[in-house]
Amino acid sequence: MSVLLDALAERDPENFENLELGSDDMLADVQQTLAGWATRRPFYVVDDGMPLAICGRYADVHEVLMDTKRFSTLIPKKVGHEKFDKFVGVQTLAQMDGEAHMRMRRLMNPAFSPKAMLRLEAGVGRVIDGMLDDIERKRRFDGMADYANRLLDGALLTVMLRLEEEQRSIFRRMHELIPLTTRVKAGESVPDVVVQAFDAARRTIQAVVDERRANPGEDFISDLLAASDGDDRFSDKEVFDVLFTVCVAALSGTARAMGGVLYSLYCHPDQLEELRRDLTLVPLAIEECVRYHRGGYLLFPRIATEDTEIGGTFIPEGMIVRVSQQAANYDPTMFPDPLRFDVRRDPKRIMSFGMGPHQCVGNRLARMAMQQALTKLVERFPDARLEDGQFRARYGGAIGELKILELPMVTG
Amino acid sequence: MMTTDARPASVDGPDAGQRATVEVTDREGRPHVVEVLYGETLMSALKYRAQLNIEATCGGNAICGTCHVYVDEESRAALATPSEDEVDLLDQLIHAKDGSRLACQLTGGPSLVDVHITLAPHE
Repeated sequence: MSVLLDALAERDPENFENLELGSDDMLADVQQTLAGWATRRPFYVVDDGMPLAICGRYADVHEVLMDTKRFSTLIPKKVGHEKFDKFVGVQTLAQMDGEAHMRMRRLMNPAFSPKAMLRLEAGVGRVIDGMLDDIERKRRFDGMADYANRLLDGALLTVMLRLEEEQRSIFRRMHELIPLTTRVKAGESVPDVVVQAFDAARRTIQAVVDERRANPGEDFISDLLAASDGDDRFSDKEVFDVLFTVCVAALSGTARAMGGVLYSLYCHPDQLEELRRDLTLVPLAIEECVRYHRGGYLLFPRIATEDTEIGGTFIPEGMIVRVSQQAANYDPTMFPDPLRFDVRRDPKRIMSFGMGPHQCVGNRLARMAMQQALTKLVERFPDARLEDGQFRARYGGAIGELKILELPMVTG
Repeated sequence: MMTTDARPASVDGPDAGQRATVEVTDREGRPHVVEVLYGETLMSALKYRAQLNIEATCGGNAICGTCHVYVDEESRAALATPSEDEVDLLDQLIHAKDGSRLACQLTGGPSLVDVHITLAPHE
């Protein structure tokens, strides 16, 4: 590793940034930090002794995400790469390439299609109404724990997958523990508590699969099994990997995204007021919210498969490349005055759900659920606000995530 | 055949420099004339060359449906038949109808000359 580091230091010594990814320092003013990434060529950071390339400009991020031949998501297992095995050996959609990826993606696509969203809308709406009933009884509530975190739990695990509360709680537990996997140091193992949680999830998924095979219904898992039991059979492992992707990865991502929606809007009362006056702005507002504050600042890692260059920066074969879709959303060449929050901006080609073959398969579900959640919240509690008008979020979650820890609010 | 996304392509070989002219009606009803290089996808020409409002987020893999267009009836016969993957994806879209195609699966060549298309509504 030091050979690579030495070579880069000799070739491009001015392009190293002294930055600890995910540190309190970095997160203290993360928006300004990322706005800086959005206007500079790809640069290097040294993480646990290993050099990484960071891309923040829109064109650079776009280039990496679109070219899976030069920038693969298949990160080889070796010392120093432990922290990139976020799902402890489970091959999620985000960590596979080529035909295998396309095959799984096509299997999942119908469940997340525009037509499927129409079928789910009413059920998701009922779940949200129930969440708002709970909030109404409290007056003071946590926008994260009481709303954002429960949104996808309800929309996805309850409505789409028809899981029982006990089963859902096992996935919630996993969702809480996954951040630990991204902090594993070179040569270390994943903590036992994570391994146990993964085992519990594995058993749960197997039990659900067995049950739906015996009693198929109208839900995503039954549809998946029907497809996998056809001519183009999917192995049990592939079925597990798909379900794991949906139950764990998606759950976490949308909870964080919804947190960003609430935080962005309620920190800008003038914009919230515009929205209150005209709820037809909600779809635009959601796009602007997820542009302005998505749930993370780094996408899944890529690895360079050859010596190459991005935006004028040399990237040697085998180097880990991290792209920041949040920084790309602050690139002024795509989004003028990018740190201005404007619910009427109507931003096009936002990078919030990724781009290219790995673009988020659940983006329509997330958008539909967030649009409903925001509309219903504003309708039910038009005077809702942050408890403290000066509130500034503290972040947790995995390295690369922007998981708002709490969002104290009142209904009016 | 699936394509990977490309910004406006440079095409080598005997087709280099040749282009088809496609008439496009955008979602607001405005007409545009878009040149598609031979070998380049229609999606790439619409998104990058003409800068029209199509998302085309998956980059030409026929998995997102955000480059959905309608091909005029008189233009359809000349186009290659859609693949099974394209048909499957179109079947998942609310606004799909006769003449629906994914622009990422149409490649510049003689069959695209003088074709007229309309951008489908956002899903």
